[in-house]
Amino acid sequence: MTLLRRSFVFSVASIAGLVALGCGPKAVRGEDVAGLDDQAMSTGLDRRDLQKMLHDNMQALQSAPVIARWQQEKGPTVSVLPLRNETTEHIDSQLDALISDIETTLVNAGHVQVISLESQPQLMEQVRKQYQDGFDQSKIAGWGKQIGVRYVVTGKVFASDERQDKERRVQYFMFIQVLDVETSAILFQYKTSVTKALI
Amino acid sequence: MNLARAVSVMFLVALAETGCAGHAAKTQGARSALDAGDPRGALKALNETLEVASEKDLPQKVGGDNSLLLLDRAMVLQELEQYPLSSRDLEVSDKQIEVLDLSANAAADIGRYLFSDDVGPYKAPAYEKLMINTMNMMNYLARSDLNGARVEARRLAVMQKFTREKADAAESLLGPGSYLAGFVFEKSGKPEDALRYYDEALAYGQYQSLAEPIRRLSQQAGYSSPRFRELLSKTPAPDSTTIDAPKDDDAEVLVIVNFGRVPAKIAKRVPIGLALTYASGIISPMDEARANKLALQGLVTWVNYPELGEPRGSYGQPSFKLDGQWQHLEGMLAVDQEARRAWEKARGAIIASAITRVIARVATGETAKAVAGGGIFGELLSLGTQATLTATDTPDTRNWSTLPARIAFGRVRIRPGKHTLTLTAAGGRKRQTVNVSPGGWAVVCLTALN
Repeated sequence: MTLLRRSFVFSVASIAGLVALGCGPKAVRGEDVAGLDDQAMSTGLDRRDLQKMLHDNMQALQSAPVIARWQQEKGPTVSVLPLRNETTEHIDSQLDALISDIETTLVNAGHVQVISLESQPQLMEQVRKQYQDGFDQSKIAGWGKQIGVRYVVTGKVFASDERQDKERRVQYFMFIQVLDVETSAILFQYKTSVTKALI
Repeated sequence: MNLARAVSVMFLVALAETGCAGHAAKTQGARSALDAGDPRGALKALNETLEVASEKDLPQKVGGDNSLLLLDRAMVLQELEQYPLSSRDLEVSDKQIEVLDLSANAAADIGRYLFSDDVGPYKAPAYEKLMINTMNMMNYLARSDLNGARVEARRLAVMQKFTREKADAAESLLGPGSYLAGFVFEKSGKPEDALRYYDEALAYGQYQSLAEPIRRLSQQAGYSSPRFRELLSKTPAPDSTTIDAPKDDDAEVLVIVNFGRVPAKIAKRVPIGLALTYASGIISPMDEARANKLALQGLVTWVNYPELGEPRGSYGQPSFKLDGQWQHLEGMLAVDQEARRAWEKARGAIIASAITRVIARVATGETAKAVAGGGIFGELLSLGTQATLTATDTPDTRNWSTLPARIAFGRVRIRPGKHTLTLTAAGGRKRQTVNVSPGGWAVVCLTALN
């Protein structure tokens, strides 16, 4: 085969290859593709990160002294307030989804009666507005009283975000707190962390 | 045999004629529409380039050059006051630009060497990276979303730190971002953070309107700086006994006027001699000698490279009226001048790279000729090879061409209640009524990108 013929065949093959590569992505289900949920796609928090942080926090709560107190009080009322986002990522909707996860964990553990804030949309709106404008810790107990619960579970996620020449690293920290509505005392507090990076 | 030769030559010629149009050509329609004061036309043109039905859709592929087109669309959406969609496009692009910035791609490096700078991933200059979060903060503030604005302020702080550490030539752009971040944290009830950002803003710009908030916030937080003392000494506190003295329940309005547009990059041809002058000190002595030799032989006469378009002579003066009274606008930031500085810093290296590619093309052509055994066919093959490589050498005209050329701020304390604001800039006018509660605030943004 001459040089030109080879180059012609190579050119046609290259174009065919490029056309094949140009095909668009296809929709898949998580369970159909092994490890789809395992791969980190950005420095943001995904479901796996949030579940891990929440799981560690909830495990710590189960062995905390406040559980014995709840058992003694025979199922006091508890409400879960939204977690504050103090990170460099727009993860508010993911944090909202965690409220239901925390409620589920508390309900299934059976120590408390959970009063969902979703049933009080006006108060939920008020809490969100307060989160928007800047957070005032002293108001938490007041909201608890408005809801009519004995304890409030809340928290925040913040991040240490750093950038270097060819790397970006974001360290996330999730704090979960349990507060006594009457006294505003913090009865439980725990921190977990997750690191995400582009390297 | 003859047929194969003919087909191959035709194929090469066809390739030479179908070189990529380049980024500037892709955004030409949108830029022309903006020039004509037709942002909806610009949006339509960008949607067509992105191959989406409407601005509600993201393209199938959000990476690569589409991330730059999304930045362009985000600014047009801001002009059309579609702030949530503008935020979405900026956030998607922000992530992609970061990935492109961190990427090291050997194949792209080879492609750049052989074909064009356009082949490699887009590396946004520092001023563009800083403006992504600054512009998105405006989007969130315009819809009174402090939560989202705080996230953007934090993201900006990471990029600002990185820019400072790299001593990148975008320092003047740290000012407006810090001003807005200070405003965000002030209204979020975080006086210490607010003062820190205001101090940074004062390091890079003149903001007389910061005197009052700094005086007020200094009573709530301990942060102080020589810049605060200097500003406060030039701006005496208002007499508390007068009717105009600030009151505790005063509200505040911040206006932002984004106007004009940074120049787009355009493809340009210059004689090899002039190109060598531009690249002097950057191109290697060996490449310079080879280029001079080829120029003397008449084998190389022109070099293609991207150039920043000419800036507009004047962008006019923006104005701000509150309830019919003229108000002061300040902190006029020249984004276009920052774009020019960034370009001038990079130009020598880009032209040196273009010259190196020209040399590589000639060398490849000569090799093809030798392999073909010389003669007429060898000449043809050499010319065809060079033509193909020339066609693929698209000058890298990628830049965020819908960034405003100028940004100005206005800030006034007002009594709670309804107020009418009128903002004007060349090619844009906005009249908006705001209803602010005691101690409340409002942000009104006018973007006019023609």
